[in-house]
Amino acid sequence: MAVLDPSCNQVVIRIVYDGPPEAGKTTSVRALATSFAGVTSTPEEDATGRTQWFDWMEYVGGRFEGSEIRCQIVTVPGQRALGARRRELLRTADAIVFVGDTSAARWPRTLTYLEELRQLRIDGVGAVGIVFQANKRDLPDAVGVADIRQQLGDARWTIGIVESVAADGTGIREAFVYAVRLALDRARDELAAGRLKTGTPAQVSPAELLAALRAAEAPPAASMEEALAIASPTVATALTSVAANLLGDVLAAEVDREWELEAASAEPEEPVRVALPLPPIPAVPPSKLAPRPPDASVPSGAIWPPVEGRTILLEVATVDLVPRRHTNGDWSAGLGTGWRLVSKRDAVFDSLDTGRNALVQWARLHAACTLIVSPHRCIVLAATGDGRWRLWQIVRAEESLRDLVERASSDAEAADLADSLCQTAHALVEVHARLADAPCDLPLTLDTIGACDASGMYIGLMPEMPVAPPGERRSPSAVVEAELAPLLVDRLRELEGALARRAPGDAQVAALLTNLRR
Amino acid sequence: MPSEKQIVDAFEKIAADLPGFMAASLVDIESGMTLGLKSVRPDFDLAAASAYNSEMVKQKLKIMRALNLKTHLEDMLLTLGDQIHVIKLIGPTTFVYLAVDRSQCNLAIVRTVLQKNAGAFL
Repeated sequence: MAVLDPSCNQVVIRIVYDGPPEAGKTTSVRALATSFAGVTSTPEEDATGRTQWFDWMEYVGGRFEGSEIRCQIVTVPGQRALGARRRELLRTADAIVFVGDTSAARWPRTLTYLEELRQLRIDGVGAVGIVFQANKRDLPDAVGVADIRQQLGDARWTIGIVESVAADGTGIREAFVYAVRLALDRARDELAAGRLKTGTPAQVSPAELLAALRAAEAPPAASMEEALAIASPTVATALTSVAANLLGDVLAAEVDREWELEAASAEPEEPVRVALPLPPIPAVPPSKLAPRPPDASVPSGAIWPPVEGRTILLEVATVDLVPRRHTNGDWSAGLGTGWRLVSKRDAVFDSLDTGRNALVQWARLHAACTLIVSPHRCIVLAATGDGRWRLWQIVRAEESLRDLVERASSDAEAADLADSLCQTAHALVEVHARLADAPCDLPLTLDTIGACDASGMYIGLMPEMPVAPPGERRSPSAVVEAELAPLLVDRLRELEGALARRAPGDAQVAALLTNLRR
Repeated sequence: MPSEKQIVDAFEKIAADLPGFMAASLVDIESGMTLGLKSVRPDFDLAAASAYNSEMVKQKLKIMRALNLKTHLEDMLLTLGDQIHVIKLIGPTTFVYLAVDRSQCNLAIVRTVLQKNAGAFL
């Protein structure tokens, strides 16, 4: 839990490195220490150099809300027999870097440990951000990134993935930076909610952390199975599910395998042949080919506008998004949530670089139109889940001029309706004038123009790239006539019908109707 | 436009040459988007800094147009209490934004190293 220490004006956060044994946790932290010119401390290692308690490193730098940031970087011991220590350390995390061994042979075990983390989170570290550090990417049999994304997506993990080779330091800093951001986001939320603790952190040195762990631990050290077994009632309930039973079977298999591996550490390892403990998959997925909608894990440089866009993405991430395919092949999501997420059929790219080029081109078009289009929108390049990238635009649903007129015509007096029509015509003329400077053709209709932010704004979707240069434009009066005349004609027909029903055959009414039609 | 990897590789070289290197990014002027970045400071929100700095560059270019200055904008230097920030324009659409620790580096070194590596961003 982040703590604000007023005695030294520091906010103290803890980043915990979790993962299976020999996945590269200690190597990652040591690489980090090299990168930051820091020093690591390991209280105890076994004869083979494996961590028994934790590795510890501190990094001080940067500021958070006026306070210096002190990062406590701690690894957990990976051995299953030391599961209680792992759980105790995870409980104190402000963000978790899960170091996963992505070699084909160790991949099942990585997934098992990751699933355990989900169980452990239920028991105390919920709402803590997790970064998946996909390690050992230099191995020839490493599982493909697309497969990793697919499997994590299938297991309903919405976590950022950073590829790494801890042995040479590649990707280590990126994963750490990502985790620090998550931890600071959490601290910021706690601060806003008045929950950020103030005072001296519970432990400020490896010696104090070691003492706390020893105190919390009744000898002999509880194993992972015991750690899971003594979990809260919520976990006990969860363990009755099919997925949890499967997890239990896998854990049992893993314990045996682990023990065998440790007994014969000199022998090369065989792949662990166990079923993956994936949670139940939703009964009716919208489509097997459905792309994953954008979420908060979108990498830096893949969203525009860079600052406001991320805020929008965080807001959108709180709603349940189910992408649906249209008959023309486009994808959309967000129906009924107040947000529209749309991706054109062809807006999918095989590489991040290609997608980013398209994103930048489109961002330039958006930037050139910022004075005309509604402000609550962004464009995002998001991983699809199958190794590709898809370009989305996210637009907040605003009240259109048509909504405005229809509301006025349904429940207002004639004078109010007249006001509403004047206001609408004024907005159309105003936007028409401003659209003259737009670098592309934006449709000017009652449905695409809204009255947000006290002025007329384009609230529709931006055209996809490449954009044709603006064509011949209608005059303002032609726009107003084309958009409002059908509404008035409909209204007139209603009026005619009402009058004719009230006084059929009345000469005066007939004359009035003739005048109205004229 | 160079790929993100090429951009990051170029920043790696700059970081190796520059004592006190903190963060750097290649930024699209029009949109403020980062095309590639490197940072050694986890608390430095480079994406946000790049976006805000693109506004500054756009305003400066606007001022130059308003003053009818018949020249080009080469770089912008900002001196903070403990940092030096340099914005160097790379072609008509992008700029490099670089932040270094002032106590470990000086402006001459920063400009020399940037000039040496600028070609990699074209």
